[in-house]
Amino acid sequence: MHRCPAPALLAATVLVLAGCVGQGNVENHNAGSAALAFASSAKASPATACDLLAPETRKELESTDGPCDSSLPLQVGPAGGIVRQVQLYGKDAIVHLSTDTVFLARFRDGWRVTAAACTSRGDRPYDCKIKGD
Amino acid sequence: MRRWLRENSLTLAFTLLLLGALVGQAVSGQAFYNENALDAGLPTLTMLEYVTSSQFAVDVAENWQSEYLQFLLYILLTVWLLQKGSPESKPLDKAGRESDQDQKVGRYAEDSSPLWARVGGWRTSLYSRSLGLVMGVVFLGSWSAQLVAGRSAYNAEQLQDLQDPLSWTGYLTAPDFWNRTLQNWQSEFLAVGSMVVLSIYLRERGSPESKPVGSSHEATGVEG
Repeated sequence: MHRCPAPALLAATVLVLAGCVGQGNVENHNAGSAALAFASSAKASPATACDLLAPETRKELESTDGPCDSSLPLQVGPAGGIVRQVQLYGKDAIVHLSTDTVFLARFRDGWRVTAAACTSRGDRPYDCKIKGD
Repeated sequence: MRRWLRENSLTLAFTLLLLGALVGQAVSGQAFYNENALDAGLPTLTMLEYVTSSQFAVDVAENWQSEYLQFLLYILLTVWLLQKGSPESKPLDKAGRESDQDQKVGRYAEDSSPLWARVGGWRTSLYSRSLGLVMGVVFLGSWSAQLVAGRSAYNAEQLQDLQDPLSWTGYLTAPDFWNRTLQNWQSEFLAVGSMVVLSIYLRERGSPESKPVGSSHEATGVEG
């Protein structure tokens, strides 16, 4: 009644591989670089950092604190630092810098920061000064 | 060609149904994912990205593993367990692995018997359990795929919610993994149990899954 175990096995293997899609080293590196570029430029060159914000995140920042160029430097912590850990799942990543924890998403034009200036609260969501609505 | 189609129509029909359902799942799943992504201001997925994503993979795998578990259990439990009156059960005096003569293996094999049923030894022993073994392997493969893809999809959601991703052990004990698993298992067990019991009293004329319409409710192991 039920046949074709070989295709089913093949499909199961494909499914396992599909679970790993998007977790390659290249994207890890890209996400880490984007987070570092954001942290490095947030105070010294806020216009550059503002361009690295995800659209909804920038919109939320500007609606509550005013123009991005002037409000962003006031929200972020120390500039620069080093990338300590990148964890990436699909189009979403969390980057732990030595100076901050940054959340990112991969849009058509590259990695953009969805939340920054984040503090861990254990099992609860991070407390982030910069985030989308 | 026409004869080949007729003689394989059951497999062909289910293959087409499977492909149609998978396409429908992909289209509706992508639309659902992108609707939520747009609401949250997050990136959307193309169709290619969606069908290779962990979100699609876990939704497929969680259903596949439960289907193969269902048939694995059905194949194995019906060796020993009986249900009086059900065409899904063996006759009441046949519980167990049965004799070599009943199973037509070794010296009781017929000319048309498969080679590995005739040769005896480990090959006949392995072939005698091959259906359950393959179903078991596919079940474990699908369940493992659910674990891998499920963790990836769950952790993507965790990051969107500004939470830390879970480790392997964390996801293995997470409600998401077991909720996906058990909600599928319960429906499969219900369907099989219903089939065993309903086929005692109800008939479907011409179906090998039913007793002949005129068979008594007590007739066991009779297929129409």
